[in-house]
Amino acid sequence: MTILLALQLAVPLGLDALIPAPDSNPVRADRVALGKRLFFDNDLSRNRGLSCATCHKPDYAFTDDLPLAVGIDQRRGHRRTPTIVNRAYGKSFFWDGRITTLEEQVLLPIQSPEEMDMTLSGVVARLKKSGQYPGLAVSDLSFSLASYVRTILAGDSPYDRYIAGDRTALTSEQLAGLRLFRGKGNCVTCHVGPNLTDERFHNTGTGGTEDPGRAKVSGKVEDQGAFKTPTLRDVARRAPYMHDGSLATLDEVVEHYDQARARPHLDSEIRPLRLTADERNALVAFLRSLTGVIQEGMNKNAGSSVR
Amino acid sequence: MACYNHLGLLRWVLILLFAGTSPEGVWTGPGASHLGGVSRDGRLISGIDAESGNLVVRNLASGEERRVTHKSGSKEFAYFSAISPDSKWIAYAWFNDDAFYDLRIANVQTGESRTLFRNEEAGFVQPCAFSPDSKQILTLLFRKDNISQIALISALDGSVRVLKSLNWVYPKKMDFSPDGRWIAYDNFAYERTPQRDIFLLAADGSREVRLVENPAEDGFPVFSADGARVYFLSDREDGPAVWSITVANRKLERIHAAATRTILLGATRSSLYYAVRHGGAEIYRTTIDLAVGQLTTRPEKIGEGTSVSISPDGAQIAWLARYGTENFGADSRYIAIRKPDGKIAAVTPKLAHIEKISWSGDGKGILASGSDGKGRAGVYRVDVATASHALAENAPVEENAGPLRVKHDELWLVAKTGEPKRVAKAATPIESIALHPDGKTLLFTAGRPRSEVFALNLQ
Repeated sequence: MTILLALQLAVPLGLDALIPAPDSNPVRADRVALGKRLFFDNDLSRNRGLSCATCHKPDYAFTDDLPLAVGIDQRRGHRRTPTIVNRAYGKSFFWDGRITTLEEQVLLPIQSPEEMDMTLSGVVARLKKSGQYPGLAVSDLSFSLASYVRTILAGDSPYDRYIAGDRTALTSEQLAGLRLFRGKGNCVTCHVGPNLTDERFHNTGTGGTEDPGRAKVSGKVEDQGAFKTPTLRDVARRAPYMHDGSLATLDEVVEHYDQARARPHLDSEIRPLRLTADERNALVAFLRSLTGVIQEGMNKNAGSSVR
Repeated sequence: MACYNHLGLLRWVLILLFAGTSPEGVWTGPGASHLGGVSRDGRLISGIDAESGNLVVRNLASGEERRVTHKSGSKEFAYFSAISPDSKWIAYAWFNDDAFYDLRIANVQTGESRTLFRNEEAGFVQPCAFSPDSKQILTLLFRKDNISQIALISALDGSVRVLKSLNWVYPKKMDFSPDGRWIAYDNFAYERTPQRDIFLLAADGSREVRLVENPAEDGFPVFSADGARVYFLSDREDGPAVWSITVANRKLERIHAAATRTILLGATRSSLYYAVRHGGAEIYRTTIDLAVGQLTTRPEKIGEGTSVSISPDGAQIAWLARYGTENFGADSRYIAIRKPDGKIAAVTPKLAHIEKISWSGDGKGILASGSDGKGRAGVYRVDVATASHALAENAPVEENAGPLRVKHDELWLVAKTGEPKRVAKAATPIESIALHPDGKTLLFTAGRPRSEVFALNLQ
């Protein structure tokens, strides 16, 4: 029966029609609507000062503009708030990929002392008491928030239109950048596919040695300082960059990869690129062509698109 | 110079492999191909004329063959094809003069055709099946950024709906269920494993389930005519075989033994159609007198493979060989090396595709043109001892051919002085040559793979 109620979302140009979801939680309109209400509800945090949208701001491509996340009572996280656009296609979650389902992921920030600092039973009790969510259970919280996150989709950029066959969609500089992206720049090695990520973990040479990154999850020395490849969708409006927010602009990011300073456990794919100034500019121009439409919720034409 | 093939013998070996329910050979000859499809009623089958590259449709009852395409450009040729359920249309990949593939559709009777999809960014297309209403063509798109995409392309206006993208990997075969609700395809079960499983993807993109999960390599799924089963090839248990799985209860059944290079084409109510590829380039050894430009001994077949190369010291021979099941690509290729003691070693670098090889100047490595696991094309140096590979910039893969040159199926001597002289002519195109440092021994590869189509009675 639930399959019959499953929602077939219209996806933006450039994305797969198949939005992976577990059989136990097919994307349903009622769950998406509930998840959206919860996403913006400050009652999820202990002091009622934060909602999911406090850090995952729609106007900032569902992240914020801070180098490191700031949670409840101004408590500082040690990594940047990741964007959650196109996480429907994700294979693991958080920068270190320690969680493998969105259903699990959405509950952890609520319980994190650095973020919302609530217990699940406490937040459910509070929400029920508010009268806004009668009969709510922890599973509803999990399923509905995950369902809503699955509807946050970014696509329909000039890049997507070019890939679809519109040869006028990119400027000549952006096109030069695309060639570099796939060739000399070696970017496509990790930023691949419709979501421009391989969903794998790489040490890209940023951050200090105190954050073990993926190594804490995998237990492998070679994963020291490795973090999940983020999507490049709408990257131009998501500064600052990298898992630690240490690079302020796209120019700095390209410069960083161009220089590829040696350090322990640096990913073997990262090596000096010897880009010219024009080539660096072209790469940045191409990255700007990845800015498109972000839709969320039930209907992309319902005023919920973000430009 | 004659190339002796063993196709006749090989055919009987293959037939014996299928002994039991006696599959019937239904198509041999230049048009028979592993790239075609069968109409749902079993009346028509498509293939490629190996000589001309044109698309051919054969009436299985009458044996009549009709050429659907007529090449005009020098580079053009037809490739994969699929026939609509009503047998009126055929969709096919067409290698165009700009060196990528269009998706075209033609009227089977009149041959009138048009281009449905042409996009260099998705420069390789593989039409696999029509939807039951003939309005959509289930197509694999291969993009420039080395991903494959399962897509539905409108047979009316060529519009594209991508259902699923796969990074750096591709299914070998896809098929529509007869009710149009599901798409069966094969893919690697998990990242970085050789295990291939069979998946069912909802044609509306709403969900996906894993139909077959097994450590084996399972591939080439096709639906039964009633949609209740999916037939597939698997190397589980005692060698390659055709298996079926009942969709409703996942009941598995071994149907028939199969040759290693079998490719399922489609199923009708009564039969399962499949192609078997055999042959290919064979390696020959002969001797030559360069002073007069003549072969001095009859070419002797010494093995099978392509891109033969002799080490700089003349002591070792390397060539490209193939193992495993058919996969349309070349990722089942490995480098075979015949050592001075006559033993053959297999060097298998982690490259996705190897096109051509030659020895490196120091004799310790092999230069291989191809692409790595992420589709990056280039020349890689493969260490013979460890099989590790690294990009070798500015290292061309060159034949050690001395003054000899190949022109299609002819071998020519191009001396510094005097007119070029034709040394020999082969029965099939010469693929590669290698002249021994002694200047007398010559190795060459020649030959062309062929396909035969069989029908296995399902009743």
